[in-house]
Amino acid sequence: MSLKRKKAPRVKPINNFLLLFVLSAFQVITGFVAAACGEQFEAKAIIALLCLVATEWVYLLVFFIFFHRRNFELELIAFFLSGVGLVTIGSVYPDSAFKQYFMVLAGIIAFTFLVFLLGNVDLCMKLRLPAAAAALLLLLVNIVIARATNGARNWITIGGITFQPSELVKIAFIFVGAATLEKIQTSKNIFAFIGFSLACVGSLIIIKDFGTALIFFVTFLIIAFMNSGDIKTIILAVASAVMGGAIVLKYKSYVMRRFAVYRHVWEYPYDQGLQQTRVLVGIASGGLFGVGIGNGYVRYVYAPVSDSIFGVICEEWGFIFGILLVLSFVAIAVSALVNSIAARSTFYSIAAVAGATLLLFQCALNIFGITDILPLTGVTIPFVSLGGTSMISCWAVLAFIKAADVRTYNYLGGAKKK
Amino acid sequence: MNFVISVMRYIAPAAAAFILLTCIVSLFRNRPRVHRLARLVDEADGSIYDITHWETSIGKVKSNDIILPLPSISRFHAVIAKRRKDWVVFDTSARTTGVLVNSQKVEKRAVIENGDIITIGSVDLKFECDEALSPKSKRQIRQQAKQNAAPSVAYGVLVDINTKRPVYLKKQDVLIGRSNDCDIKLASELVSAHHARIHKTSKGWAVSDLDSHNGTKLNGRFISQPQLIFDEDMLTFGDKVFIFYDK
Repeated sequence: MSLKRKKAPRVKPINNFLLLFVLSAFQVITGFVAAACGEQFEAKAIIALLCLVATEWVYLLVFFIFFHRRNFELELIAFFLSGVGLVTIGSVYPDSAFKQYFMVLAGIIAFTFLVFLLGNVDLCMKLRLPAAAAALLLLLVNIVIARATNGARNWITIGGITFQPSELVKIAFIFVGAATLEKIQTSKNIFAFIGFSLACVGSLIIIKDFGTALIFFVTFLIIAFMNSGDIKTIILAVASAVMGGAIVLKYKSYVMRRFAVYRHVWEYPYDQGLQQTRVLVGIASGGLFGVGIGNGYVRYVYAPVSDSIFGVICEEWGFIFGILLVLSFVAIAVSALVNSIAARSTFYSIAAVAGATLLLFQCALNIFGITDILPLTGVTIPFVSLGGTSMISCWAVLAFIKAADVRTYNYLGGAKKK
Repeated sequence: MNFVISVMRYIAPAAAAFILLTCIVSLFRNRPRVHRLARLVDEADGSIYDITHWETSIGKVKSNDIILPLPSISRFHAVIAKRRKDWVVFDTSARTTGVLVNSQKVEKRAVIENGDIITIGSVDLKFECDEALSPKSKRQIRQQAKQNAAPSVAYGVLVDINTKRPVYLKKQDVLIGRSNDCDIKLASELVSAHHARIHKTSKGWAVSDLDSHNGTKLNGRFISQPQLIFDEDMLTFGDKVFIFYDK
């Protein structure tokens, strides 16, 4: 038997500093254009963006010097997406730019904290039960005290702060679903997680947040498949969900009404189909390279920086840029897949693949919804759209993907050559 | 202003593409690779099971990584996992026979080391992983190295796992390999002429691979870039395994 190993290809490591420099330049220039696009110069937009750039450099320097990390690809992609979102928001609503920046900052802090927490698998396994309890409690609070916004009762206000509990439950859902291999093999009670998932999806349906319920269901399928390795169970789950959905649609006609406009947007271009038709026109008129920041018309349509932000970006920044935006989510997802093969534990593999599915599916649901390929559900694009809790949850989900990469916990680090 | 926008519309996608493509290429080319971490040898017939992942399950049914279809083995019998420093075996069988390590019953989990016999049902498996040492053995090796009157000029010490022979680091930059000009000469086919170097940095000791043919492993993982090493780290050059003690 030959002990000789096939040689791994040797690659020059990327220069994180050069890359972040290009990213900063890109963000500052786009931010400047965004600030100058209106009738008067909006200093708020550019200042918020400069804060983001400063945060990026602090993050890179701290983790490069003190924690000896050398791999920042995932964070750079997320910084890029957050920056694009912040520029677009700054150009449409300059007053919201600071709020968005602070949410990105909170997201980065949550990300950093979770990456450290996930380093200790044994501790994470002990924290699963409290996390599940906290998630259920949050959903219960949501059902009891939430008020309706845009049809869905998914916002709660505590002490003047408004937030979406379902976004925080996403993090707990992945956390509870993942488990180490010996736990999967010894656990007698597979119904505990199924019950937890049913409670989550059920309460989301009660508060009429169907988009998020769908995201949870798809994530549940991935986690169930990764736990059992059994495709038959998944087919069973999908079949029962489709039947359940059909029954709901038959007896709750108001749900059906939400989908009435689907595939018929051009018949209602001035009321229910307004958003979709304007976005489709905007994407077409933007062309490959866009009409320039501030020159588009999608920005004057309803919800330009949450639901329709993809339309605004495609129209003003160009279709090529829109494709790149989607490509970055695909890159995150595929990197989660390849990392999960060599991950340190099934806990990381399951969490990373489930997290990547969640981000990719949410992105797809938004983009396909706004372009009338799927019914419009009102979910946001991760990292890009305006949102407080959703921004934090996106960064937290990214932490699961980061944790699956064995190089993250290379706490022995890469030392400098003398 | 219009001029800036007209230039920006081409530069923005180009810069975005540059950032994303660099990240994507790096994510894929630097991804962690699957390689053999350890192996299990059946004592009875000599068949070999490779362990390539950090967690490996053993049991009767097909969904296990190592399938042993015998009546004495339960559906999911045991899990062998590499944790931060040690290799651990978990009993997941819920049977009274359970898992034995060197004829000792395992209560839920036990740390294993190179050469341990793991009894799963009626099968004796010898665990072979050069880098796996229990904390107890690590302490023993350290004591031995201390007893062998260390030269006062040594900065650190590498102890060969198999021969227990200490090699002292007498310089702050040590070249390791097979050729004669190396500071530490390793007589092995699987060690390259200039295999690796261990050097002192401002952060402490570091090891870097010198593009060797069979690679350098730190704690059982191939390294692709210079890495800091600390007390009790395991270094593998080709087939030679050393434990590193800082002075």
